[in-house]
Amino acid sequence: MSGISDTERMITLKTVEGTLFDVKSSIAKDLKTVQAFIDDSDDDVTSPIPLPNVFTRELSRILDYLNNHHRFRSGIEKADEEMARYDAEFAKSMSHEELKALILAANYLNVKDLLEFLNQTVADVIQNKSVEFVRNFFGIENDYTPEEEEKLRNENEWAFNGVEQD
Amino acid sequence: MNCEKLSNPSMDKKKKRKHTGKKAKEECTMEKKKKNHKSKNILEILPLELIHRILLRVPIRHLARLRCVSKLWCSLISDPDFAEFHFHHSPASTNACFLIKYPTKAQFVYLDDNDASQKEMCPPFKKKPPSDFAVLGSCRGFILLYRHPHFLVVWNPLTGFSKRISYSHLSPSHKYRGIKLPYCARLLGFGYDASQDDYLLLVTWCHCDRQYHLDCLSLRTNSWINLNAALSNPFLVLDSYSCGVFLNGAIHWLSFPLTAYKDAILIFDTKERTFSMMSAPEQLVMSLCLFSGLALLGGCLALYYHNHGSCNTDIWVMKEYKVHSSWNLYQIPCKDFQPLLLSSNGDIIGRGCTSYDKVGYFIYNVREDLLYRFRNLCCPSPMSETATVYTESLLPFPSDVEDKKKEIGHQNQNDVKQGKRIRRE
Repeated sequence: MSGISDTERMITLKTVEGTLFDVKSSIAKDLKTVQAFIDDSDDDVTSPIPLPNVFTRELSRILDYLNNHHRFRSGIEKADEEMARYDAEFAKSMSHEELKALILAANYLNVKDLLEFLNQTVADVIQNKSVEFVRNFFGIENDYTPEEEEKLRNENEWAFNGVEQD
Repeated sequence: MNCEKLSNPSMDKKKKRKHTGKKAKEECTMEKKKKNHKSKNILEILPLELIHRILLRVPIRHLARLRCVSKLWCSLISDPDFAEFHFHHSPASTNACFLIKYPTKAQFVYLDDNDASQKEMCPPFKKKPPSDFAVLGSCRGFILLYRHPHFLVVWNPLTGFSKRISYSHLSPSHKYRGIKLPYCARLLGFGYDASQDDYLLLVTWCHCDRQYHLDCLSLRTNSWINLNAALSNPFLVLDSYSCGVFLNGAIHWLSFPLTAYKDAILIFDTKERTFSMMSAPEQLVMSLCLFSGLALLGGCLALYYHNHGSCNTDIWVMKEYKVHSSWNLYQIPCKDFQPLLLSSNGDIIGRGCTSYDKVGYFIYNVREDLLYRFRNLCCPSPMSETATVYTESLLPFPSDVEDKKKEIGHQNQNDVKQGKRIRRE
């Protein structure tokens, strides 16, 4: 089992816009889609791996997240608090559009921990919001007739109290 | 709509071939063009699988409302399999709720550390306001209410389901002459049998001849099983308003009074319909244990009592189920503390009395050994008001009648396809 040579290897990733990112293979392991591609290839991967569904802004954020988390994990004991603080800032720094785009990218690249964190972030955002807000957020068309919706709301009337206004 | 599928390396071997060569370049330009379109495209719409995963992290009480988002969301949230999955996989701390009688309504208290709130709802009785009722217990999101003096009600506030169980149901094999209401019947337990998808009620009786009886009612089939043979002394447990703690397919009770640590906990396996015993920690000094009880904290069985000697409340949590050596002690600096649930970061939340004898909700920070009060919540006194902690769910209630209707419905569909006559119930 080669240990040292693995961590020094660099993988190059290319985003939609053509930007190249050099990534340590230890970080690339967290991008399961990329890792599977590497595992599948017969020869060593030397040319940049194109990622047709990932944009520069998203890949940059994902790598930032992974680099920081690797740093926290390998560091000293107090890392838990620092990591929590980093995560909170990370979530706050994005608009809802950016959050959605990042989820799609993390999903495509199969970055498990980040995806769970983002899913939780979105769940926290929508839980107290109105139905209209949630529709806008996910870009969903309302396919209920006004009568159907009225009926459904009445059935769940008590659940609509205490909901944040838009 | 071109949905983005979850990338599963073991399954997506074909997809990865696209990464190389000309095809990738073509797709690059295609994706670029799509992005420039201002209208919705795959880059703005999250696929259903991701929505499913996100919704599993939303506390279930908010999901009831989100059924209105669209028909697709409604069917997703209303799906019994989704409810079951959410119930088991969503952290219980975000779905736990404290329900207390207040005084003619049911008050729901949410004790999340960052979302402490309460609201009232009328219990599902025909006569409003009800003359008197009590909260007995709960199981998988279903609450058991006792409506004096006539009947019991099983209720899921999130789905609105309620089912009345009248006392005439409660006397199957024992015919009382002239006595319609067996006032000496006592409800012992409320649990769930996963193997049958059935809810069980355990009831003890004192017959005219002073004989004790123990019966088990299946709420799915409305049929009775006598359990006299399974337990020699059904009045081992005599807690007036409690249905035990349901955990790992069994109902647990603390023997009353607490005289010895050995075999202090009685367990009823809902699948096997048998009883067994478990010991409490041997460190317990019986004479100092007042007002003892069982609770469920973070999915673990907990035994608590007011320590008369130290004026604390001792809470023993069994970290590993049925592993005697895994009992851990927590001492809460509050003499009347009743533990209710565990917060998402391991703090113990409960009810207690302040030094000024005001009843309130408290959160005990285990690491700092400090007790904080929830300032914006008012707690009804006295502490003896009936209450239960339950995990909210959208689970449907099993019923043989409903299942038969579904069966007939399916058969009718098939018959129509084959041109046969439709069966009526």
